Order: sequence, then structure tokens, then C-alpha cells
Amino acid sequence: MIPNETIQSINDVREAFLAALDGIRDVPSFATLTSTSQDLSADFARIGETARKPNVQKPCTGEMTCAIIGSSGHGKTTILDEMFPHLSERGWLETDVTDTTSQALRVRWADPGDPRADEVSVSSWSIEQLKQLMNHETVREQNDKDAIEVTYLENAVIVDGTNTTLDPKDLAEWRYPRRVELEPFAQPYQVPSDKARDQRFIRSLTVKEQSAVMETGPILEHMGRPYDALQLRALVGEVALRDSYDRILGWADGDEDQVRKLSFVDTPGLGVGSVVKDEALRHFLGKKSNQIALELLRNDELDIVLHLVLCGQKSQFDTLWTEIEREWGRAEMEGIAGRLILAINGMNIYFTNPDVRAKYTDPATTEREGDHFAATLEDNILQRMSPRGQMRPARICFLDSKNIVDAFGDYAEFYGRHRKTMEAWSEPGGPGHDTLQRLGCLESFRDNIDALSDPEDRGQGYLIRQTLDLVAEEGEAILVRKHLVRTGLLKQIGALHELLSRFYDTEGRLNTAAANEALAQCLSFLDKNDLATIERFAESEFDPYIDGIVPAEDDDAGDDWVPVAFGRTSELVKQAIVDAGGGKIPQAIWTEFCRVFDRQCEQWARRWGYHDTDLAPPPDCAVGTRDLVVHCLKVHTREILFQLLTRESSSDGGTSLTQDEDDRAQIAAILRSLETAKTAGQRACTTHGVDA
Amino acid sequence: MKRNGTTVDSHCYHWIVLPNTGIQICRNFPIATALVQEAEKLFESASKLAGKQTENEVLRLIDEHIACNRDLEATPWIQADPNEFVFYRLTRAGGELQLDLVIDTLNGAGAQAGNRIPLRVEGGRGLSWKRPDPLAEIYVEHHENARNEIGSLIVDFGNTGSAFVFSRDGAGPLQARIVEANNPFDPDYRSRGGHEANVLRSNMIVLRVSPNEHETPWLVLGERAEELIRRHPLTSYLYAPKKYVREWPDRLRAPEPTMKFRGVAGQRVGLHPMLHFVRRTLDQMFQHVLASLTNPQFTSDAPDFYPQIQRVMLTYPLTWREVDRQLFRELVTETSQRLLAHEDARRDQFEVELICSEPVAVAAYVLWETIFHFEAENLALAASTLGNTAGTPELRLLVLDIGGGSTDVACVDIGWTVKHEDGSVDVSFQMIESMRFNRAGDRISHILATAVCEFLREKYGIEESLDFLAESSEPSFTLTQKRNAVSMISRLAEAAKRGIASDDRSWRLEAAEEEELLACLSPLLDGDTWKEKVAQRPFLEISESALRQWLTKDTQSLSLETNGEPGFQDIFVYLGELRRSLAAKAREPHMVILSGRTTRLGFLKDLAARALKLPMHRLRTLAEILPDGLRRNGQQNLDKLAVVFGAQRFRFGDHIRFSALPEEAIFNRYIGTVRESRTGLRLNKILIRPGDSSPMSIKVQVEPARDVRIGHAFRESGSAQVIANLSNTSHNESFEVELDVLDDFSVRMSNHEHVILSEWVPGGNDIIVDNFNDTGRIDCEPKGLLAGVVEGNRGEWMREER
Repeated sequence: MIPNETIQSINDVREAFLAALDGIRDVPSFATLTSTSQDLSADFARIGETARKPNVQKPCTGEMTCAIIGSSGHGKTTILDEMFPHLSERGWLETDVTDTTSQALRVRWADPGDPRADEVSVSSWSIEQLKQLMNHETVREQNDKDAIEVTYLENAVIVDGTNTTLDPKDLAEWRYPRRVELEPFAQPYQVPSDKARDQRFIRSLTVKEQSAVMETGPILEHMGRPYDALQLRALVGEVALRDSYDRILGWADGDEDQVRKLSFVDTPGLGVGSVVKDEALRHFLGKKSNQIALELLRNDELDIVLHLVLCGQKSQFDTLWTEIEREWGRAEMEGIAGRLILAINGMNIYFTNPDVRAKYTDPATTEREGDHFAATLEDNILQRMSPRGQMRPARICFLDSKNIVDAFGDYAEFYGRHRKTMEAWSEPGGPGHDTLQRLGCLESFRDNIDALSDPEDRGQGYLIRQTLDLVAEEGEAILVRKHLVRTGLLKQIGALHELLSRFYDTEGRLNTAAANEALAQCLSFLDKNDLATIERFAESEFDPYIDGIVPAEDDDAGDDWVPVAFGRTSELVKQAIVDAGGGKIPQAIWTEFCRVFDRQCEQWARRWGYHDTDLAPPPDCAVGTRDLVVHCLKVHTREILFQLLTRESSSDGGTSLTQDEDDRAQIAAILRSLETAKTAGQRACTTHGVDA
Repeated sequence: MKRNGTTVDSHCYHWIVLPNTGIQICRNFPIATALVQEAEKLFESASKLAGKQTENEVLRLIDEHIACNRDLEATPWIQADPNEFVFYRLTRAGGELQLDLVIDTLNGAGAQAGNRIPLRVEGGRGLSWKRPDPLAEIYVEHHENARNEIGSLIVDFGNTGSAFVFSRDGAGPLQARIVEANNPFDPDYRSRGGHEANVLRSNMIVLRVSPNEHETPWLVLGERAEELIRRHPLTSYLYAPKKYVREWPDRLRAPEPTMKFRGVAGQRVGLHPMLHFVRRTLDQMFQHVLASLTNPQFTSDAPDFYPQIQRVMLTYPLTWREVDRQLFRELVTETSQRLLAHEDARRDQFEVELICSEPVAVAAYVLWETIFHFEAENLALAASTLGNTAGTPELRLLVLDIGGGSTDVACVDIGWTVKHEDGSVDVSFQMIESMRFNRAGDRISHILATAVCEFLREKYGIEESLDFLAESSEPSFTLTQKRNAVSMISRLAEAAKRGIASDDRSWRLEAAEEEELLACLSPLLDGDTWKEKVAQRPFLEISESALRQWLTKDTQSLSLETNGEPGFQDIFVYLGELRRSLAAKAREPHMVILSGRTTRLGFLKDLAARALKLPMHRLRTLAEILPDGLRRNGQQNLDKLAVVFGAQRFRFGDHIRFSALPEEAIFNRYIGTVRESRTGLRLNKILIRPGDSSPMSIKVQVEPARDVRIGHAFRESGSAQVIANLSNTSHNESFEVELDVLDDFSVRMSNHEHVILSEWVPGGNDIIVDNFNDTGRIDCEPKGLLAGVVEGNRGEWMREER
């Protein structure tokens, strides 16, 4: 069970950020600042965008989402049917068909007595998601090839197959209008209770029916707009409902509370292609299945991934992986292995398939082709899951379906008969032992056999327990990463703090007016409208001296040689500015200038990386580090002038802004709260090994 | 000695070549040891044999163009067999007799593995019973018997120059080698200098073409091609081949440019699409690459290795539409299939990949080099030197790539994460804004050429058009002379750019150059009196300041005569607009990287700095990214090589891994119909606004026999750029057509019976803007426009004193 303290600390950080954003808008001095500075206004708006992210908007409840991802035909629905029998009874899991629609089915726990227990809601994709997939290179090419025309409106997409050049025999099968208008739902559709039990409705929503029995009229009306089954195939992204989790609660082994906080998302099968039944939308729908999983992963909705693969079959997970990396970058899949459980379905195949059986019964085959686990696990799955080489999932589970095994005889009897064989695989010298050991699941395999042989568990319960185990191990890190890091929350708290610090001191006092005036006077030898003056000044006043500031190759410099060099350089800059002033500036102005300058240089040294450098000092420095530091200092002398010259001013001259005590106190409180939140967030990251 | 089951002669040496590796040369090859004693006799016999072949046209080409030392004492060239493209000559240096050998490995015997070609001085391949020993033998080896290095070829195909990197599988980023291409048809190879070695000039001339379509023609690339076109003006010549990479859909087939196929020797009938010559140019470039890798100095007696190219990776300009990119990929795929050999097991794995756009490659280069030198621990310091002063692991680089033919501007949002356990860095790229322009360095050349013409008009009264198609008022002013004059003017314009980019910051026309130019124009001049005038005023001297003033005046907003096509200065006008747009989104660039050879003109940095309101240290050329002490070899062409190195590191970055994120699916510009205003083009009816989700379908009404231009602008009332044109060919019906606007630059329309959509690239709707080398059309678009541009400060560049 994930400790409440962790959830609380995540929410504290989140609330501090949201409160700071709200609070700061009401501070008069800040409102004046934003109204006069476009840059500040834009920076603040960008920070504010984070608040609109779903995982920032809603509090962290500790709910963990487990996505079940697998290829079509690997028995995913059959397993879910046995894990969630009530869903099957309600008609939401169709095991008798393979041609299901492309949408995610999200299952959450509800007590049977809870009024929400029967609620079903249907969410559609946004117009952006719809357009993005419709404009996918492959979809576009195929639509063009078949003369299916697409029109992109502001809130809808129209797909028109009126003039399509598809085979007339295919067209004869079409039952829906050739011109399909796709307008996403403005908000989720709550399925009325009578419809939620109506098998015809459910099938129209979840199954691509044969044309003969196809319902072609509207099957639901939402916000005054009718939708037929073909439109819904394209539009619906997710169907969400609740279940009492009766069966899986029984497998929880004392961790029932955590089970209730798990939600399960059944994703459409990987690698599902286009079918004639999708008519004018065939090319679009041919890509939609993978896109559903992609979107869920991308939106950080999948905490634990249960990848289900039928024994002896190949994993297609790499197609998803490759697509995600292509679309969103390598970092997106970083660490996925640590929250992925590989579930091998159909353990019976090791005993019923002669080719697989030969891999452990025939020593020559084992010698030649590797043992049965090497072939079915490593070759077929682990080496194919990732384009980056063999994957090492967090857990590996073997499970089976009662419905399938019963076809070979009684489940208990079947596994009773093969149990000894399985046990032998994990014995030293046994076929498969080395592979299991290599994969790190030798110990767990023995427990897995117990569970698998139990007709009440079938390894499915074992999968749930492994999931709980993984949640116990990684859950806190997953939540911290998801809510604090990947949302950008922690980063933006730092950014907001930084932003405020540009204008206020730690006590909340405006620091701009006097400083700006001092800077403007002291830098009058530079022209804000001709920034090339910076370059000219730096070339003559700084460049000739910087080389002498940095320790030479044969000097014996300390480890802090880089920050020391920056310190000396900033002194050089200050002195050059003083000299350029030529004694015309009043002393009070100089004093203010030096105060601002020194404080800024301290901040810059930190922000610009001088305090954290790890560059070998002379005389041991590697080739080039001295050159690098000289280069950095030359650049930064110019940057200092640029920053000072273009420093944000609250208004022209900076003298019109006033601040009362309330204003100051509010800012000070916000700064303190942000500082506290930042420290708490960083501590949470450090505690749970999350890279902030 | 046995090789592949074939007995080979043990008395002579064998030069081993591989098929399909271009024209192969082996200089200074030793003759058979048994024949050394008969040197005099052999030399005499060879000369006699050559004497019998004097009418051979192919031999004349070899003699005149092949890259062998012409200063050596040598026999004339001999063709080993009248039906084969195998040639040799005997040379004598230091009392030693050697051979220069040439074989075409794409035509005839050289193309077939397993062939042995003996080279004899008596009777060629005579059948007499007393058959003389061969001087040497050429053996065409199977690819698989050479040492194969499996790897990738990264290609940056440019209008002016092209660069290639071969990256062996498993090699680190720094081990990848830049291909230093040898030009087999360049007798002046020894004096050419290193500047052409790592960037191959892309212009091409046909040296020899046979009517036989199956025979691969001989093409000449590089500076030598420029020299040849002056001597052979009617020969097929491509000045900037990349400009012709364009997909011509059927509806626009009519304006597709074509050219005759004529070599210095030989020709093929009819007109051929320019794309055909682009294909040939690419073929030739690949041949250069293969020849240079297998035989780097043209002195190897056996292939050093065979580059088994498993992957060809291409960069492309932003100005190219998706269809153009795919066309380029197809062209390279065809070339690869023709020329590259693969092991059976690897053949299916071969791929040609469009890896990234050129500005993204430049950004990758900058990032890779920076991270490499600063190392993962010091990236905050690194980022701050690149302008991110906030201390966050991100950077927005604006790459301003002003090349010869096009200007690409890309603002790339870069983020990174460091894995401290192994010091690796994952870098993600996302393009957040871009600008594409068909104006670049060629426009500057065009203005400079106009200034030269104006100078000639003023000083010598030459009013004659140099348009190749225009009939001359003076019959003795032939096309050859016209072509020579244009080539010379083009050379002077390039020299002027170099001079202005140098520390001198100016260029002047020397008396000798003036005379040389006038010699080409002599039929237009009165007798010989012009020679005296050369020493008299005025003199042509163009300073940086004068050029800068011209460029500032070359803008659409100052002239409506250009039919909406912007001038060079408009690059900076739009750059200013881009800055505003990015500023409004708080996404201003931290740093601007100047790449492309035109940015060697120092004042362009200042123009960009002013447009972007940035201090000079926030704009850097590639050479300024790192301190001088850390630069590596080949830096003189870094503005070119950064693309190819960047692309290589983008894919094979070792511990620095790159990934490209897709652009946001929203519009960044206002898009609508375009109208003219007193200050240039403006949007008329706005149909799409920034932030709208892309793509979007729009409807546009086109009146009979009228055009409607679609354009975009950063601001509602800002300068607009045309991105597409709709033309109604019906004279009596108006139509409402639906267009899919896919992004800020791309418009699509289903085929329409009467309305034709043509897509434009801002900066010029024609692919050959400012390409006067191929046409002779100087200052013709419209006539006199550029003369007006240079007119204003005449006193500053037409000097009274030299």
C-alpha cells in the first residue's frame, strides 16, 4: 500500500503551486509588473500552463493504472473475462469475436452498493487527436490513393468516400453513409442505465459487426447530435465503468486496499490493421488501435504496463515503442522496463504444442535451438519488445485460462499432470533453469507454478499479486515522477520562484526601481538600441585581460579555479563599468549599482553553472579545459552587460511602482511557500530515487 | 598464382579494381619486371601504337581531361581495346618506366567482376603464337573478396557543394571519415588545393555521352566543370542541381524544365527533364565517393577496402515539400541500387533514410560538439554560453542557414537529460518555428553581376542582353562568347563575395580581369580602343558598405514590380516578424547559429542581430561555437560540413543520443488570401489563425481566368509570403475550391478540372530564381529591377581611381 504521507506530500507541493499562482495574480505590484512587461507576462503565462495539465489539476489519489497491452489474438479478452466475470455478464467483454473496436476500456473499483457501480461513461478523442491521426502520413497516402477525401473543419473532420476508387465489390458491402462527419464530444457521454444494459447498444459500441447484422442508424445522441456506430468507432477513445473486483480482491493476499486503488485499462490489440467493415474510415481506423496505447502512454495514464503475450507468439510491443520514440523522443520510454510486467498467457502450450515441447524433451533440439524459455521468452518476446535490445521487465508471470485448458480436460488435472515437469525446469541442470536464472525469475517461478496449478488462481491471481508487489516497490517513485517531474510541476515551482526573485527580494520588497535607475545611469555608455555597442566594449575592455585571469597550464590552481576565475572576471567587468562612467555618476548611484551587480553576479555564477563545474584544474587539466573556461568568460562578460542593459524594468525608469505592506507580505509568503514546496518536492524525488 | 579459380599471369603486376566504383585511375603503376630492361623499346612501341589511335575521340577526351600528371614525359594515351574503356600510357621519370592506368568500372569490361584485361604494347590482344608479355594486367575483382567495411553514408547534397561522410558500423562519431572526393576528370588536380577536397562542388558538365542509353555517360563535377563550360558553351551543364529536385505533378508538367543531352563529345537525341541530369549528377557523386574510398589517392594498386554502404542518410532543406523529399529519396535509392554492392544477407536491409532537415543537422552538430567538450557534468555552463542564462536544461537555437540557393531558418527547442551513472545525455529536438526562402547567396551574386553589367554599360556602352536565348544585335557575338561572358561575370561575382568576406571587406576588378571579361565581349566593342579604356576611369570597386546598401534596398516592400517575390533584405524583414511571433509565445531563441557559406559575409550577422534584437555574442558562426583551440580539421568548410557531421551525430552520437519530436500540430501563422499593398503583400481574408489545430480545410472562391494567392504572415497586418497560387483556367465559370492546409507551408487540393494549384516556396515561385548561370538572364525579373537597386550609390562603387 502506498503510504498516505507520500500522496500527501505530492498534493502539498501541487497545492502550494496552485495557491501561489492564484495568489500572485491578486498582488497589485505583480499585476502592474505583468501589465508593463511583455516578457514577464509571457513567462508567467508559460508557468501557468502547467496548472492546466490533468495531473496537476486533479489531486493525486494514489490510484495506480494498470494497462493491459497485447496483440490481437493473444487471449487478452479471455483472461480479462475470467478476472472480471461481472463485466462479462454485463456484456462489456466480448470473447466470441476478434473484430472489436479500437477504444480503451477503463475499469475502476466500486463497492456493489455504490450508486456509481453501474455508471458507464464514453469519452471521445479531441479534435486535435482526430486531426493528427487523420493527417498521419500513412493514412493520408492511403486515403489519397483510394480517393477518399478529408476535410478538416475547426471542430470536426469530414471523411468523404463518395468518389472513392475502391473495389466496387467492397463498396457493395458498405452500409453507412459514404460521407462521415466526425465531431468529437464536447464532454463525456454518460450512458443511461437502460442503455448500459442493452446488449445491442454495447455490441454496436464495442464490436465491428458483420454487415448483415449491422446497426446503421444512430445508436446514441449526445448534446443534440446523433452518432452511428461507424462514427463512434473513430471518435470514442475510452469507455469507463466500474466493477466490484470480487475475484481479484480474493487474490490480493491481504492488500485489498491497494487493489481497490488499481484501475485497469484494456487497450485495443496491437497490430490491428484496416478492415473493409470500416468503410470510408478504413485507413484511419487501421492506425487507431496503436494510437490508443500511444496516447495513454504519452499522457502518463499508464503507471504499470501488463504486457500479455501468448506463449509461442511474438511480441509486437516494439512497434509501439518505436512509434513513441519517433513521435515523442527517447526519454518517453525511459524506465518503462521498471514498471512493466510480462504476462505469458497459455502455459498449456508448453505441453500441447509438439514443437515447443521438443525444446525441453529433446536434448538435441535444446542444444541446437536453446531451451523452450530461451525460444519463447527471450527470442520471441524480450528481444523483440524494444528496438534498443533485450528488455528486462520488472516481473515475468506465467498464467493460463480455465476456459482454454478445460478443452484439454479438467484444469486441475491437466496441471497436476504437468506440475512435476514444470518443477524440473527450475531445478539445477533442468531444461530452462539457466534461462530462468538469467532472466532473474528462477525463485518466483516456483511460486508461479503453485498459483498456475491452482484452478482458482490460474496464474492470474499471481499476476495481480506481482502487480501489487511492484506497486509496493515502485509505486511511490511512479507517483512522484508522474505528478512532480513529468508534469513539470517541480520545475515550474523553481521557475516561478526565480521569476519572482527577479523583481522582489526575499522579504517581498520590490527591488527594481532604484536598481534600474542606477543601472541606466552607470551603463549610459552603451546603447540599448544598438546592441553591437556591447561587443565593441567587450572586445576592447575585457578580451585582452581574460586570458590573464584564468590560471595558465603550468599554474597550480585549486579545485575552485573556475568559480574563482568567474569572480575575478565579474570584478573586471564592474571596474570597467566604473571606469567608463568617468566619475560623473553620484556615489549613491554607484553604491546601488554595486549592490545590484554583486548580487546578480552571485546568482549568475550559480545559474550559469560556475559553482557546479567539474573541469580538471591546471596543471592537470585535460586538453582544452582552460580554453573552454576562457571562452565561457569572454561570452559571459558580454552576457553580463546584456543582462544589465536589458534588465526587466517595472516601468519606464522604474520609479512609478509603489508597494504597500500587504503587497510585500503577500509576496514574501508566496516566496516562502514556493521555497518550502520546492524543497519538499526535491526531497520526495531524492527519497524515491527519482531524477528531478 | 590462382585467384577465384582463374590462373593469372605471374610475369606482370595486377591492378585490382572493383566494378561500379566509377572511373578508376592508378598513377605510377610499375611495369612487369621482365620488361624493365626493354624500356626504350617499349616506350617506342607504345608511342607507335598510340600513333595508330590518333583519330580516337575517346582517347582525346582522356588525354585532355584525365587526372594524370601532364608534366611527365609520357607516351600518348592508348586504348587497350577499341570496345573497352580501358586506357594506359607509359611515363618516364627518373629513368624509370611506369604506367598510368584508367578504367571505367561502369561500362564494358570494367563493370564485370572476374574480367582480366591485359595491357600490351604490341598488337593489343593479338593472337600471334609469340604473344608478348603484358605490361600489366587489370583484374576486376568481386566485391566480396575485397575487405568490406560495412557502414553508412551520410550525404549533404547542396546547390553549391556537396559533402559526404562514411561512418563505419561500430565507429565512434569522431572516427567517421569525411570523403575527400577525387575528381577523375581534372588534369589540374595537383594545383586545385585542398578547398575542393572535402566539399565537392555540385555543378556538372557532360563530358561524354553515347547514343546508347545503357552506357553510363562521363560527367565532370567541381571547378573543372566551371572551366569546361566556358570552353564548351553548348554542352549540357547544371549549375545548381539541387534546385531542380522538384516533384512535377501531371497538372504542372508543362513548365517542367528540360535540357538537351550533349557532351563535350557525343550527344543523345531530344530534350530531357532537368531531373534526369540531377539523377546523373547524384550518380556521379556516388561514383566519386566509391572511387575515393576504394582508391583514395588514385595510386592504389588494389582497393583499400570496399565501403559496403548499408544505409544512406540524407539531409534536406526545409524549403522542400514532402513530395520533394520523397522524390530525393527515390533518386538516391535508384542511384544506390545501380551502384552499391551488398552481401546477399544484407541486401534486404539496405535503406535510404531522410534523417533530418539541414538546420536540425546543424543544431545537432552544435549540441554534440558542445556537450562533447563540456561533458555531461558541465552542461549548465555549456548552456549558459549558448545563451540560456536561466540554468535550465533546455535551449532554443535558431539556425539561420543562408546557402547558395535557399535560406532555411529553424527555431529548435532542445531539451536534455543526463544519466549520471554513465555520463550519457539524451537530447530531444522539436522544431517550433521555421522560415523557408528561395533567396540566398545566389541573389547576392545576381546583384553583384548586375553591378558588373552596369559598370560595363557605363564605361563601355555595352547594352547587349546576355540572355542565352536572346538574339544578339551583333551576329559575331556568338553564344559561346555570351556563355563565356556570363561564366566570367559569375566568377567575378563569387570573387567579389570572397573579397568582401575577407579582412579587406572589399573587392575590386583588376585590370587583367577587366580585359579578360572584355575579350569575351569584344564583338560588342569598337575595334581595339577598349583596351586603352581599361586603364581609364571609372573603376569597379565594391565595398561591404556598398553591398550592404544594395541588399537593404532589395526588398519586396519597396517594389511591387516583383510580383510579390521578396528580395534578399526580406529575409531580415521576416526574421524580425519571426522574432515578434516567438517573443509573443515567450520562445525567443537563446542563440542564433549562422550556417551556410553565404554567412561568411560578416555584415549579415549584424543584419540578423538587428532583426532579432540580439547582441552580437548571441549570434555565432559555426567556427565561433567553441574556442579556436578545440577546433578540428576541415574547419575551413565548417559552414558546409556541419550539416553532414551533424546528421551523422544525430544518428551515431555515441553517448549523446538525439531524438526528434514532431512539430506541434497547430498553425503558427495567419493564413489567408493575399493582396498587394503599397508596402508589399498583406493578407486579405484571414482563414486560419495561429493556434488553430492543423490541418484545416478552407474554401476559396476563384473567379474566371483569375488567380488567387494564398499566403501566410506572422501578424494579421504583417508582411505576407505567398505559399500557393490558385489559377482558374476557365474563362466563364467561377469555382469555390476546397484546400487542405496541412501546416504553415503546405497546401493540398484534390484534382480540379479547371483550377490549378501550384505551391510556392517563399522567396520565389520558380526553382531557378537568381540562377543566371544557366540562362544568362541577368537582371530580368523584372528587367532593370536590380539595376535600380545598385544605382543609388553609384559613386561609391564606380570609382574615379583604381
